[in-house]
Amino acid sequence: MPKHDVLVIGAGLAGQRAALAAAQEGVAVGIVSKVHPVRSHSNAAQGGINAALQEGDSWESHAFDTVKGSDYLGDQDAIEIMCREAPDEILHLEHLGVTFHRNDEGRLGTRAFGGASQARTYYVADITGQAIMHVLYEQLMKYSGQISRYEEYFTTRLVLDGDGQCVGAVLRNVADGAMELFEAKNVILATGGNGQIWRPSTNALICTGDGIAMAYRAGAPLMDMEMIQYHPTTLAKKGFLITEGARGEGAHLLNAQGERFMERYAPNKMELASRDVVSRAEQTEINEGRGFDDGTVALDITVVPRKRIHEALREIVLVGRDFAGVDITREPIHIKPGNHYTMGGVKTDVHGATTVPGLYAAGEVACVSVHGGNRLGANSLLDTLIFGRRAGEHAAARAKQIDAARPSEAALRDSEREISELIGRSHDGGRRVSVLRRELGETMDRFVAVFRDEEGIQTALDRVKALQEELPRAYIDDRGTVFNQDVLGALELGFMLDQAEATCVAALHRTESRGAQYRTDFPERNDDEWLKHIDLTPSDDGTPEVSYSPVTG
Amino acid sequence: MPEYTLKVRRYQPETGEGPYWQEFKVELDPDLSVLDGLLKVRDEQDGSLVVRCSCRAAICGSCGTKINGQSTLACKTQLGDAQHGAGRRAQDGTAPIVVEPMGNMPVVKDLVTDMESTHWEKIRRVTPWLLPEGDPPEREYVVPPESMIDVTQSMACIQCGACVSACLSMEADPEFVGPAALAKAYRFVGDPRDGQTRERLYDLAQDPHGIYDCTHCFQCVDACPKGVAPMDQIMRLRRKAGHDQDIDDVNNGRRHETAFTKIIERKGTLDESLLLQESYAQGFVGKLMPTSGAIKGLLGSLPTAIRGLRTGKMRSLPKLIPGVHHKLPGDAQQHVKRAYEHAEEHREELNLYITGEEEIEPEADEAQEPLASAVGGGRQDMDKVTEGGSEAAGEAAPTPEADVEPEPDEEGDR
Amino acid sequence: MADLKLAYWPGCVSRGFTPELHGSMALVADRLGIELVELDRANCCGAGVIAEHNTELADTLNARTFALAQSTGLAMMNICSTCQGAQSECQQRLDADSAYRAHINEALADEGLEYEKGKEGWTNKNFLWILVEEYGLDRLREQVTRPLGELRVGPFYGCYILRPKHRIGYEDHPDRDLYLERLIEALGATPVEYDGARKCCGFPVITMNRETSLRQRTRSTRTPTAWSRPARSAT
Repeated sequence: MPKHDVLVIGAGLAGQRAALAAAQEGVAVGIVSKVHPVRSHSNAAQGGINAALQEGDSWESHAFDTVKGSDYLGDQDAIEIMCREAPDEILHLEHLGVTFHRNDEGRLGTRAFGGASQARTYYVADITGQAIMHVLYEQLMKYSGQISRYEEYFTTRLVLDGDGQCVGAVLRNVADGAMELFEAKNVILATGGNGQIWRPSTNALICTGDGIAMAYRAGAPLMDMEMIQYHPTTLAKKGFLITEGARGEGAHLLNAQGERFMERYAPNKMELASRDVVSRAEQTEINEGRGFDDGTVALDITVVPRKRIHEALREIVLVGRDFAGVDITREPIHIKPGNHYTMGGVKTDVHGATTVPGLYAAGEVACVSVHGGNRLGANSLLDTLIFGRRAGEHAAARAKQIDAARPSEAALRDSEREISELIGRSHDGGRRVSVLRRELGETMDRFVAVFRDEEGIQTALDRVKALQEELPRAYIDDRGTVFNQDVLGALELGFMLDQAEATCVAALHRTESRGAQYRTDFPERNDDEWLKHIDLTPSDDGTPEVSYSPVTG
Repeated sequence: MPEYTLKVRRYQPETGEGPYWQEFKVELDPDLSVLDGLLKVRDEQDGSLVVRCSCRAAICGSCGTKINGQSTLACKTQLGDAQHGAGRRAQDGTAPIVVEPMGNMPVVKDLVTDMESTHWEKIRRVTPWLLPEGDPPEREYVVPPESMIDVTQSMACIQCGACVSACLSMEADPEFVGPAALAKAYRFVGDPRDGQTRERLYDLAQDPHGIYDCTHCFQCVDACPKGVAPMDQIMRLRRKAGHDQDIDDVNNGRRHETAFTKIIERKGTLDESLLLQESYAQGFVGKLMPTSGAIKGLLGSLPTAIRGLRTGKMRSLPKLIPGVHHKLPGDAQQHVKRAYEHAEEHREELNLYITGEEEIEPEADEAQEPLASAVGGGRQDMDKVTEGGSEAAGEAAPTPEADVEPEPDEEGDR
Repeated sequence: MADLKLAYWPGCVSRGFTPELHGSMALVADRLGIELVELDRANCCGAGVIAEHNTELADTLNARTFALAQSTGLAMMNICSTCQGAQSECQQRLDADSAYRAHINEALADEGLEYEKGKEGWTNKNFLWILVEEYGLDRLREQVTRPLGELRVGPFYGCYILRPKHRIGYEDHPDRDLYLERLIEALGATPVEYDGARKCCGFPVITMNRETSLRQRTRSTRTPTAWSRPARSAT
């Protein structure tokens, strides 16, 4: 049985940063990921990472923008920490070898981003997430003596001891199907967001929110689950992301009549208003018939100088060319709002600690909450790194103070039983797992998206519950042990349904409009009643139980 | 919606059976990807069909495969294009789209390969992390802005393995460090913050399977979905090792390059015999005291030469004598020398990844008709050069060495 | 009737170890009425090797050859895969940046030469491309007096004329990697499909890693089932 002081689950930016920070403290670290670490979805963060590092900028200004952008649902103590620690983190990454863009003097240069009062976004062309994550993976390879990597290991559940402490996890080695119990004094969840609950989504197929569901099942409360960001510029039909950096570089949004419609919605910030505002503006244009026939508006990047596009927006040129057949340097590209980011997640403190002792969470899986009702562009990479590091450090410190507790084999047996039942299940009783997954995605994108109302959310919730009931009868094809993706897909769907239920319950419960939650039946923000977080814990019958926690001012 | 046939190379290890082909039919829009096709098969027809995939947008690097024999990402290849490619070769529009696992790697199951034992092993071979000299500065390292763009080309690598899969040198020599790992090496060699430039280059030049084991076939350049152009990075490594760091490699690569370059400076065109000789044993010292590698190399080429003569492939014995090769007519060689002086003085390295390409000016006419009128100049009787050998007559040198200039650093030994 | 007149760069190997390359082309060109003005003052393309040493040098040398061709007022033809690839690589850089081009042209000024980007649609094409794209396979077919009949021929292209596609004109001429097969058919023979037709001959590393090199050669000509009858490779 592998034993670690700190076991990190998930190996995107938050997970890798947590592992490196914990190893720095001298404890034994394991990092597991259901895909090879460099396949993690942090790759997809294109635009950059915010920090008040330039002369004339201040962390207070960064924090103020973040609070405002969050529609005042962000916790200000956490936001302060994130913004204060950002500059040092950028310099740390630069020293590790991230190839950040330089200005003419050879110093770090910035670009403008939405919702920010200053150009404070540091970047590597439009592959910032990829560039940082590959550099962190270089460090993982460098410190392979202290950090054991378990690549392509799927976590099926967390293991608690009799005192309710998290003491390990059950894993399935994807390569051969072997199930194993991992012992850990601390577990850090860094499994990312859950965009796959919506279809389409900018999120990768792996973004099924496994950690959110596992923590919830282990009794850790979820917070802000109704806050789901729709990104203003995603590719029509395929849902791929077009970076906000494009608008940061000066690109315009146009409706079918060629109007720069943001003049009517945000005359000052225009295209660089916060994402919830821009997405609603676009959706309004589309709903009121001023969009294109394919249900889109246009992003016009041709106004950005060619040379600048070549240096700063290479990836988008490729995305346009390869996935839309459009040369973005010559013609506008059709885009629309699309599911992008989970502001909510496992509720943590500023050290990444959940309410379950020994269980931490950092990055998109977690909700500290620094993003509140709406995340600013280029704050997510920062969130993963700052709170990944803090969780790693805190977990390492805790590991030094406690003795190892043996996880019980019962959890392993349960998971093994569950999977063998799934593999052996007959094809007569239900539908394919993949069919259920598609139905979930389409339902959520239809009813729990940019504009919501009670009837729609309730419809979605009813369908989610029906799918939950159906899941134990749904079948898979692959009965093998080697690289059985079918099994993983079924487990992921179980995770996703729990989260979808939580999101519907929270969205239904919050009878106001704030940030990404826009209720057409409650179009106003209601600070008197709703300047608070909705927390969800599983009740005895498994349904989410609502409680509240205050927004830290 | 058109229907496509995907012919997939399958392998299900638990069955104990070998690999086999299976055809699936899917109806999808032509602008959707081959990966979309595979996922549709997996979701609706056969859940046991396995392919690594995640982002579907050519960012995560999971779905490296061979499609119609070409190593690429399944998510980046549109069905319509793939169908066109399949039909083109077969000259039959109904040919299926052929999907196989990547090459140069063991297959785990269906389209999943073991990248760990091949690709990642090689990546780790090049010490893939920054090794700065001394403590970091208080703020950021101040570096030329272009240098960061330059190495960002290698950072754009998503480790998908398509170049490794396509590599023809690795197919012949599995120990070749390979395109992905060498591009990764350039990411550090080209990074002004790294303090081990010389050590890295020396290491890769002294590995017989290192930078001089690349056969220059451009397969990796075409396979790479991210424009990393691994071969270009390997050539940069060679330039930096040979020229900037003055490193002589175990493969004779630098000597070959130097010999080649010098011959053209002297003669304008290539004297192949002289090249062979000079690549192995350079200058006087090289010939007086040849290394064992040089003797082996020269002896090794003898059978080929003899066979060439015997079969009539090599029709002129003088061709085999180094130095017999002709020079350019008139003052042309002087002007070639002038080109050398100018280029060696400046050594400007235009990097298109940094500069981009200027707009292509509208062409007068896309028609391929060449220009009609000749303005004379350079006309030479065709018949004169039809038979090999005769044109070299006036240039015959008394001994092979007569045309060989010693290396500058060997002057003292004379 | 010389309706095709081209500046012609024979390359180094056609005047060295591989004289048949020039010899056979010259006979064919003469028969087809393709008039060639040989660039006898032009220099080696560098074969990618000089670029390993100094890219500016490779670019300058090829700019010189291009300028010599342009001074004849004719488009240019080569007969070597490697020349095509190495020259196209340099041409791409020369065409990409006017300042760089001007800098390179400085080195040619003494000789009264200048390479001009896109001068009157100027091109540099391999004989194979000329045959298919300019002369035309239909016309060629008409010229065949003795069809090759039963002969089965395996094409071998060479890397430089195949890759990288974006640099050597595949966007405008996507079928350039099928021209040999079409040519073989036009001459009445049967093209043989085999694994190695588009692989590497291994030559560039022959002096560096003999084993890798020879193994590549073997692999690229290795006999798959398609070689049911004796066939010879057509370079």
